[in-house]
Amino acid sequence: MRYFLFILTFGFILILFETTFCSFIKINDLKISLIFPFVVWIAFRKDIEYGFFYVIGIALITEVFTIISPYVYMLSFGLSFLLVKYILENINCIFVWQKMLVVGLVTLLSNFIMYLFYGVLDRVVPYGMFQAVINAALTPFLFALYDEINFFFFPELIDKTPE
Amino acid sequence: MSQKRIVKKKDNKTTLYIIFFFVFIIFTIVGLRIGFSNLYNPIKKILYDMLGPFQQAISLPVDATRGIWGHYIYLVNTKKENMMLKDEIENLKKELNSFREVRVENIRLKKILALKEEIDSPSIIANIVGIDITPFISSVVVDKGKAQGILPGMPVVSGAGLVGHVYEVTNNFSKILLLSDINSSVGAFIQDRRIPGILKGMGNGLCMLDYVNKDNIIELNEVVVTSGTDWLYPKGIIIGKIIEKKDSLTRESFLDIIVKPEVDLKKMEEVMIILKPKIDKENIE
Repeated sequence: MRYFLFILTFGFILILFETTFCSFIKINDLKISLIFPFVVWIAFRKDIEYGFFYVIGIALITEVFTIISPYVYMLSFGLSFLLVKYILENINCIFVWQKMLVVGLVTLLSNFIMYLFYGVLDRVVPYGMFQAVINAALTPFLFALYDEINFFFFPELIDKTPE
Repeated sequence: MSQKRIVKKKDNKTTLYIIFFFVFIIFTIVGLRIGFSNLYNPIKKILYDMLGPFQQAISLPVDATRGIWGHYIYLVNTKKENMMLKDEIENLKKELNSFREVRVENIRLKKILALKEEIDSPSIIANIVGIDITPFISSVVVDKGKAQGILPGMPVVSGAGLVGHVYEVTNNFSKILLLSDINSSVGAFIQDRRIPGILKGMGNGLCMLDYVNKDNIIELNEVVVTSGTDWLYPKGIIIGKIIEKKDSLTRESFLDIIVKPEVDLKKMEEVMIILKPKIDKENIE
């Protein structure tokens, strides 16, 4: 429960940064995303039983900060989480470039769902693809940051990496 | 024996994934189709009222940082730009000494007040505290809500012209759908020629005036204003200027007219929400 609250609080802080500090670095549909890589990080680091509920909790908070239809973030984040878990079940993602590829792939899926439900599916190309590239490029830094913060607050949970 | 156990364990996990997947899909799709929004929206609104003040608090240093980003970071490419940047810093220092921020804010507020007198309807000024987290949605959050008399659908303007309308309201905050959003539509016409059309957002900060017949003669830089035919926005509010016109690729008899909003939607700090729009139903063209 303590860890669940930590994940939700940290997710909330990331959302605040994304909707305020990162807002002026936005170019068209593209921006620096902090919360989505965090969802993927949870998929990499946590078991499906708990991780899924962490992700749904974060999706619920994220939906508060948008006008997109309810449940779309839950669907998008939830499916992205399950896809990452499925990939990790079958492929060993040890190297950074492999993690970057996974993040890029699931960003595409997530963007596809959100563009679809907002009725602007034609914008997946190029914006959804570019966003996938941006998220993938930021993965090494953001994953390292999330690992550090996780270790700082919960050093006993650091050995949960799937690899 | 142990190998069998590993395979069995893997099978169990796959079954777990499949169960999770289907339960989740059913839950969300049923939610989206039937629309548990009536149940879900109040929870969402209460949550926003609780979490919104944090966003409001954090947006204060952001406004200060935005200026630094605009002036410092974007001008580092060439030597010439560096020189310009140095000049800019000098100018900024001078301007800072003379309380630039206060002066600029005064000018902005004066513009809004002038518009307020012009519109002649009760209105309220609100500060922008955040943007929508979904990157392709053009929406902002302001620090006034139901408690201040704001309701969904109310028009929002700024010193220079139309901004959008209130989309969602909580007790102390409101979400505003900007006119540049891809799902935004405004009844509009070209001010001098009175040619009507529907102004739609393009999602990139620009708008398109749609359903304007090819036979019409249209010049660049002509002003587009609200027509009031959508029963949402009062008639005559400036929207923007025509910056491009071309034959429509999808509809043969119409023109695609690109309009640049008069308000810089990315740099707004305050907006004015018209509480009771005065829509002249009898005099709509």
